[in-house]
Amino acid sequence: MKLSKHSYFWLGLTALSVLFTGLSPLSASANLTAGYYPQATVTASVSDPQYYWTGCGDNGPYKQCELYITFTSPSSFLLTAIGFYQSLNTSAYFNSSLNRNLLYDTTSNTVLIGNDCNCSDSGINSGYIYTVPTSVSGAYLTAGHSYYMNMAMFYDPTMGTDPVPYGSLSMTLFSNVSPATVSLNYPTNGSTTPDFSNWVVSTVNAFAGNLSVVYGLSTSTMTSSDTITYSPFVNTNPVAITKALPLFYPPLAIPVHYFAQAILTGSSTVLFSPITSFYVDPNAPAPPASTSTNLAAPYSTISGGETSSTIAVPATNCNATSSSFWGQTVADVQNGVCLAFTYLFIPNTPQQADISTRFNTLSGHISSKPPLGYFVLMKNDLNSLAVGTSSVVLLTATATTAFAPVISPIYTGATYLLWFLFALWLFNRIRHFNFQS
Amino acid sequence: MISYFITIILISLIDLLLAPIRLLPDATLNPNIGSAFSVVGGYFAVMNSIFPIDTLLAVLAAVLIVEGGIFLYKIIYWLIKKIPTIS
Repeated sequence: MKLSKHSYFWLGLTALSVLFTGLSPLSASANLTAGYYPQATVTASVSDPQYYWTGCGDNGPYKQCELYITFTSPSSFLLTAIGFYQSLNTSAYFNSSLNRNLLYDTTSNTVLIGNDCNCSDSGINSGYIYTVPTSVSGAYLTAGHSYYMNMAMFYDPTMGTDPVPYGSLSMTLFSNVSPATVSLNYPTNGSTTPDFSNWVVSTVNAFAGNLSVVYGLSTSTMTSSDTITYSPFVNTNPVAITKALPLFYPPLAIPVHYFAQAILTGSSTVLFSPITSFYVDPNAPAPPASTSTNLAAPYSTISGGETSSTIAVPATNCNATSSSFWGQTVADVQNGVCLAFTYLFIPNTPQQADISTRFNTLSGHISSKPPLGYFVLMKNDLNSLAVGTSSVVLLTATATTAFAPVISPIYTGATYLLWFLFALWLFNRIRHFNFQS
Repeated sequence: MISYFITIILISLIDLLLAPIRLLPDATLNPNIGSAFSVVGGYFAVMNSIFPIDTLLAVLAAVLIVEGGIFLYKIIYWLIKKIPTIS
């Protein structure tokens, strides 16, 4: 079989599409799950202004080390675990049999972590992670405070005299406050919005990196992006990301289905927000105040769209999607055909309003002019025929009460009788009605 | 788009046919007719204490609705029979 030039072109295009689909961020990795995440790793030494060891003293065969912690950033930690190891003296090891692990806030004179734990010490030349017991529910370390920890007892028969300073003991602060997340605040999922100027992204425990919003007409073609350099200590939360380009919608402004996702790319970790699906409709209400505070003014001049038409509800039915490349291609064609027929045969809201106005005008012409006008006026007058009010009183209140035993049954009987006669009349009217004339 | 334009054409056509009617002055009734109904309503109020006039009016309204429906049915049926090949 010989392929034409066009066939080669489409095959090449398909191969490129598959390649880019495979390389899209969607397939890179999943979001972080809950658990312990290293927040900072520090090396303790006497010269470190924030974290330092005071050294280890002899205590018989043991050598007790003490740790002072002060830090200026971040503003706080929820300390759930502390890990450390020693690396210089390979014969030292950690002994878990002794009282230790007293974390004391010398600024506020409070004990943050009790002095006992079920630490699992490891062997030579390694370390352990001390997990804060759940009964303690973690310990908050605040920047500017000074913490003291009688942390470990070392047994080092070869050490001899105290090593002061001891060397490079590393400490890692862990936190499981909650996993870092990033989410797209605006547009919200499933919403319909006019074109806007800024994306709004919120973060939780996020790290510094490049914060992007990728978007496109399908989940597999989110190739457009807007990016800022993000720092949790500099940027506000939520953070506004300027959208560089207007969003596309075709003439007559049938709402266009868009997909967007926020991505935070750090030095070693990439966070993805859930994919947000939204519609762009120039006639949709403006963003709410809660989000527009972070928004610049919406685009005021957007070409290529009629500003007075929308098909919001039918368009939502044109939403075929597929997880496969070819399936999505077919779904895109389905969506296009669906949108085209919706556009052709379903009047949009302004068109419906126009038809309604014209019908009302037409009805007004008929109902206010002779001869039908007289019938309409008589009908209105007949509608006003009802039990009114009168100054003439046939029965006073006293008489009504006096005659109630007589009048009330008659009144009730007459009511039932009238409705019964109506039903009888209706039955006979229908029974003798000639539907063929 | 297509259904919209078809509807607009139909409305415009009917509007064109009604152009002579639009030239007529608006229909008006003698205002005494309206006040007469109010007077009748007052009489009904007097009688309503011993006889269910309000029920009687509701039944009469129901009768009028049924008769109006039958009348409309006959008009439509008559129009349909005017279509060629339909007898």
